[in-house]
Amino acid sequence: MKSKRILIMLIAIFVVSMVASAQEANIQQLKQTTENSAKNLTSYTYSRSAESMLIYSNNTLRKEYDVYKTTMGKVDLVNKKGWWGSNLTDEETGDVLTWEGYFINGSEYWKESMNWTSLNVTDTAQVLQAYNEIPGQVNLIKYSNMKIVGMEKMQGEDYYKITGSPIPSIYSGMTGLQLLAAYFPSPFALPDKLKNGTLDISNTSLMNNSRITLAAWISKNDSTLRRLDINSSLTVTPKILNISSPDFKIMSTINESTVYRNFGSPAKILLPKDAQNASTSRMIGANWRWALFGSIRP
Amino acid sequence: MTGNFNIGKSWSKLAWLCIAVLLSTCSLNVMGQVVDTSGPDRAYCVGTGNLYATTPGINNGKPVCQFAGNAWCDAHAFFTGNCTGSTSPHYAGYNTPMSALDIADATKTCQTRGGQVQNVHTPYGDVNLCVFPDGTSVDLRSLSRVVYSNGINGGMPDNGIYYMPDNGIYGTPYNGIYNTPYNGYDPMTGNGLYDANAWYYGAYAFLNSP
Repeated sequence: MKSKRILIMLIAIFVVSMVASAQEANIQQLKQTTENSAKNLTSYTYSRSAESMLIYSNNTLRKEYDVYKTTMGKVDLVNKKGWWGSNLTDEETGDVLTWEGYFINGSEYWKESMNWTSLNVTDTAQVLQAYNEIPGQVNLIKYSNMKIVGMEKMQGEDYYKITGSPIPSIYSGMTGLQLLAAYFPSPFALPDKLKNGTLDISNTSLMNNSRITLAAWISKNDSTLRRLDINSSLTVTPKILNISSPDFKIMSTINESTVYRNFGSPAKILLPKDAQNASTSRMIGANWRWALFGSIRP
Repeated sequence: MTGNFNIGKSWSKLAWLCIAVLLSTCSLNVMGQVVDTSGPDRAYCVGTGNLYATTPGINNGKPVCQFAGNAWCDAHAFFTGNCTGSTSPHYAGYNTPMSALDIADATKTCQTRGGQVQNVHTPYGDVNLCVFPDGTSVDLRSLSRVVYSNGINGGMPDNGIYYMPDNGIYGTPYNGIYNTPYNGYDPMTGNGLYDANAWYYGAYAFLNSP
């Protein structure tokens, strides 16, 4: 009787490990096919919505900053063209900041509110790569610990839903950026340890007080990435940063969702006529498409 | 939501040019400590292709104009012609580490060791990884061979100048300056400790990058 129980337990363990192994094999296979599909893209469009909340508090103050950003984009890899347009909205004032970027015929133009700027492009391949963001998004999935959590149907099509969290080198990079972004509008001064590079993030509890989760939907039909959600939260206090400072607390959250569509369909990307009058030509500038939340305001 | 973050429509077109810098003037308004009256300085700085920035830790919180390579001048001094990028009087140590030179060098080091650079998009822009043949990866920036003249254990350059070993090996004199491995990590051999604070340089580089 006893040996029978042991046998049943062994069989159960074997079945569970086989299922886990199959799951692992499937996610690796799915990552691979998704990567392959990202390499063979010709054109696509995307829309992204993101919201960010920053809360600053200590004994005497509490400030909150909420912004909402929408971004649309088109990528035509055959004709080497790209476009993106973003709106950043301050949810308190309702003020909206708009900006756009065009990459056409080897030239790049930015529209900042109503003003055009042309950029001196020295490496067109690199610029096109920046506009073609799907491979980077797929890399985020590739280098994250993901698992298949199920199948979902959207608009009649089947998708694998996978969830997970980035590997430490990405995780810490993102958390570091989020930390710095949180300090942009902060009423609390940037800690000296952060400024002089002696903050030892690995020895603090910052990582334990942050959370990054990913969810992606991948087409069962052609393995293209159709949607990617990134949710990230971070809490900062002097204790967490292991610094000496009067007590304060910063809470930062960002929730971003990007949907990709129109794979292979003609992408109409036309440079507006007034862009030709761009008077300023400069070598450097910020890529506002990836503007740090908190660092800019309408 | 509390607090007044609106700096006025007349400034709005310029205010968001602060994007890649360490702190916008908006935040100073939040603190209620500084009123931004530096329109011409900002316009001249931005109009000449540079970045306008204000952060408490630099230049005593007064606006700076930041140039390619991350040197900077007091914004008003730049406007009045009393300072140029090449003769920056207050070269911030933490602004120096991650230039295009570092990225190019780190990429070369990554490839020398058989690795491949992979861009990973995040809500805050790209994080660059060096992925090695065995599947392990590190933040690309941790592979930069650019070291500081006194960069021992995280120390920052006292003169804002950094040096790259001419042969890729640390501890050898270059231009008469004896270089020291940063945090003891030698990216050429993989010996020593990987710099766990690489995220920090990546973060600052992003904030300061073109």
